[in-house]
Amino acid sequence: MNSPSLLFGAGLLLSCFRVYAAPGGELPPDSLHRSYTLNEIVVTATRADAPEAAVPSNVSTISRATLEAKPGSLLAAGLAGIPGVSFRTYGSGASLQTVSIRGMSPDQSLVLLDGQRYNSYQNGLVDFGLLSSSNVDRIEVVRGGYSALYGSDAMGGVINIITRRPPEGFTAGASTSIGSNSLTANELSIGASTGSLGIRAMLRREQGRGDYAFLFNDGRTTTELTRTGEDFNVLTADARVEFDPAPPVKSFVSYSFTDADRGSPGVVTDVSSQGRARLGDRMGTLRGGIDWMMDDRLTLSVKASGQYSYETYTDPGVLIHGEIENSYYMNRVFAFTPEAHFTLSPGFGGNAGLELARAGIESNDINPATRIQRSFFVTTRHVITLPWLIPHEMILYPSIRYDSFSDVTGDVSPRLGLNLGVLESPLLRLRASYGRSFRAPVFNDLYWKTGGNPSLRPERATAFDAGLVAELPLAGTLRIDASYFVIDASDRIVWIPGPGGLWSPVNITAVRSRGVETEAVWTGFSGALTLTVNSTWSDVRKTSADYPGDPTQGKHLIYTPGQTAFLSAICSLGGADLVLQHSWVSYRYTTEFNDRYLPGYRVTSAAIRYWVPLGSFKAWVKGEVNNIFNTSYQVIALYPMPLREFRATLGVEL
Amino acid sequence: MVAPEIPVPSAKGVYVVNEGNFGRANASLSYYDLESFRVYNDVFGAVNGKNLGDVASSMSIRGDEGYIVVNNSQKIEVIDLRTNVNTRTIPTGAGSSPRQMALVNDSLALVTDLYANAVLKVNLRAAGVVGSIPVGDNPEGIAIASGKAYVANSGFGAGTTVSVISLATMSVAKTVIASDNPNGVQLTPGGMIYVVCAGSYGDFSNPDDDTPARLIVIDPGSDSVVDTVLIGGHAMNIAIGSDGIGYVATTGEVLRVDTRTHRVTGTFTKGTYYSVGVEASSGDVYLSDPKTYVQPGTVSVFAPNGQLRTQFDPGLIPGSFAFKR
Repeated sequence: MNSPSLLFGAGLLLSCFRVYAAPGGELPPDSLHRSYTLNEIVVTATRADAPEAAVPSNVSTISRATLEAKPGSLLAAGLAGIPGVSFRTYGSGASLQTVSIRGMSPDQSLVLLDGQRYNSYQNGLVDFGLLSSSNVDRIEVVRGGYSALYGSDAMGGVINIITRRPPEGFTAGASTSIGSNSLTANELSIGASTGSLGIRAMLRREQGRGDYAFLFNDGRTTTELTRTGEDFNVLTADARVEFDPAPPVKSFVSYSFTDADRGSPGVVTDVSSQGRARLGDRMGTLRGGIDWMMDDRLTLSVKASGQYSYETYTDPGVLIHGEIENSYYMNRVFAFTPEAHFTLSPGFGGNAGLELARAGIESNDINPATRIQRSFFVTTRHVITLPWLIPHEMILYPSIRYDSFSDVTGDVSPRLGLNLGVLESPLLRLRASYGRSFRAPVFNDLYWKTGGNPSLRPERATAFDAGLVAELPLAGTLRIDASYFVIDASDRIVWIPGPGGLWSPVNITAVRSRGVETEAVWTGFSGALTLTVNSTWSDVRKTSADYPGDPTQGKHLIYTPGQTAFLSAICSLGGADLVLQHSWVSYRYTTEFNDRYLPGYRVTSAAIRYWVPLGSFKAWVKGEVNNIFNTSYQVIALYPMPLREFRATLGVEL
Repeated sequence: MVAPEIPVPSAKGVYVVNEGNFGRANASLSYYDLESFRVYNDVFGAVNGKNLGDVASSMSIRGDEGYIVVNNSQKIEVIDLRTNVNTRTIPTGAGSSPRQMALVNDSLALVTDLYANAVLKVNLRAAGVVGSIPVGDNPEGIAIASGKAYVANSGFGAGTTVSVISLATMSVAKTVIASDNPNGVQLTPGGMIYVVCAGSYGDFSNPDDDTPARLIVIDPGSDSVVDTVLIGGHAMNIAIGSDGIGYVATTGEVLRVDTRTHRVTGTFTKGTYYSVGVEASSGDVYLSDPKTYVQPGTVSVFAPNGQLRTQFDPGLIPGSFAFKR
């Protein structure tokens, strides 16, 4: 029987072979020939391994195999088409991309790297333009307010990027790509494990001129132009060592490094627009963890990380006081998370832990600042079996977290999740959650030299969602997900002009985001074909009047589409994987007053990958076309997106 | 979305240049018809089916032609004032940041370029930039008198000088020390040059280290400062009527200035306004309020005695006025 409570026990057993430091661990050898069932183990929804059917929120998982088959090398491309998740993209190549979950802004959507906060303390964002999927084992997307587990920024949802681990035995690989607009990418990787030691390392460089063609329309005439100043050169290196000295103890150390030089030309407002600004990024992160499985009821884990990032922004076209604009931002973050995972009975367990962090910033635009964070969280799971009733099982997930900060007020985030098992076969489970989450003000808003406001309060949100997930056999397997959500956010920080024309942030606005996410995934022919169709409807509006007679009250927030839809077909035949995907985004307002908008758009992309055995090696070729039908569109007003683009990759693997 | 209306041709009216938000390409032009007293919004878009561009800084009128300087679209849009038809577009060059314009004659204009620390020479007939004259840091306002152009070098608050360009040689003949943060430059009916110095901000979070706005009076005969008028607060520009009364919008109030005696004669009205304009024949004072900067602002029209005549809502951030007569 597939009772999720039993699966929790199984999950616990399976976890013997997993390192909690990389929660969830790497799944068995991957291929696209998998029937995704709801027994898949996910970790982000509960901070521990849990079967997907039993968690209180809708989870989307993107596996390594899917990431390799889909078009695009960036992680954001792998996340294309996830319900409730949309990206704000400012161009092509490695240009800035931020994620928005459930209509919440990018700094209200939390991104984790192996379970640890990745959002910047300076601006609350993660720049997805710098994240490639090469070192990613899988991505879990959990929708809903999750501050009760993860603290600040988890107002719309959480994206957990789980990195790849040392392989069994020995592997080595190399690949090279070329693509449109002088794109080249080269990658080397090596990995080995023996006994109690495992290692994996990867080096990748991707660069391009970014001089893509696009159409510019001033309302009367359309001209084809070439984007200038959007070249990029990104180097990433990752290394991970795992050491399991004795069976109950596992440990790891990992280091990742990114060095990027990107042009950031800015908006195109006329045929002569030619921005020359440049962004430099250098980031290094050292992480480590130890897991100690004391017995089958208690596992202790400690994770530590240190991150250093140095970003520069220069614009030779802007002279201020006789000098060109030249900003630098140096961020240092240290975090320490001791955590206990306990299972007192098959029906009761949970996690409790502390998160201690120290974040500091030095910049010529921001007054120097340091923040000490002390947080405490408890999240539990209670299974109540009702064998004589439908629903036959009810699982409650109460959680609470207390966050305190040295420079701003903290918050208490409670949450209650519910999962009801209605049917086993076909599977039908109902889910609901209700809770509070928050976002601590970031350094940019507090300490910006010209206008920062150190007395900002945290933004707060109350979120409710309810939905269902079902899986039934239908010449294969059909899985259906649907959720309704409503998020009421208040004390939203907005920069407004004050006396003398000086802009300053204040906690002023309230926003209500409501929507429905639906998805159907059909897998058939023994997993050789997977068809996905999903659609999200959302309504995100400002509900407050910032002053009497505020005409932007009740208006939609900018860049929140009313509807998005996605269709994809993934087909594996012989040694070939073919992916075809189509996304549709409806019109989005570009002014707070809702008198201007960007039209909706459709983009179709495809990729095909083919494996060829070569003695003891395997070789593979991958071809991709993005924007097959040459749609001219903008995600953010005045940042043109590229027309059709091609990429071809050749790789070998041992 | 309401479709903007095409204005009925009229001989007298006020163009309101709505700056729009930086980087959003939502600048627009409104027209307040002084014969029918109707307000038309997005006139440029309605007549030409074309987007005005990003951040419209100012508008100048000469005869039947209007020149709208669109700062972040690096261009000047030319319209026929009888029909509002866009007759041509003058690009000011990639990377330029054009702000204010002064017309030398029918074919030549001087336009301040904020980031180039220079004044561009623009040929209005051949439609292009034909040269540039280096001035001080971050020039804003410009006005022409006695064969010379007077350029306010704001330095983004750190500047203190006014560059005097000789139109005969097209080069800077003299640099006059004014006061902190020179911004607006206007000509009085008495022939004097008024430079509105907005006052510096120093450390933005500390209002105590700000310096007050001052009006510097320059005699174009000698190109020297002949008077300094303390305005107080922060003021960007002055609008002067044909009767010699000037109006300065500063922090908290609009002041009346007598340009014959160079004295502040009193408060015209209370409130903090963004920009001021004066209509020549009636002496009416136009004051703009951008409100939250993300919704249409409000223009209030006052009679010279301080009585409010009417109010209307043009576009986003109404920044300047141009009067057609």
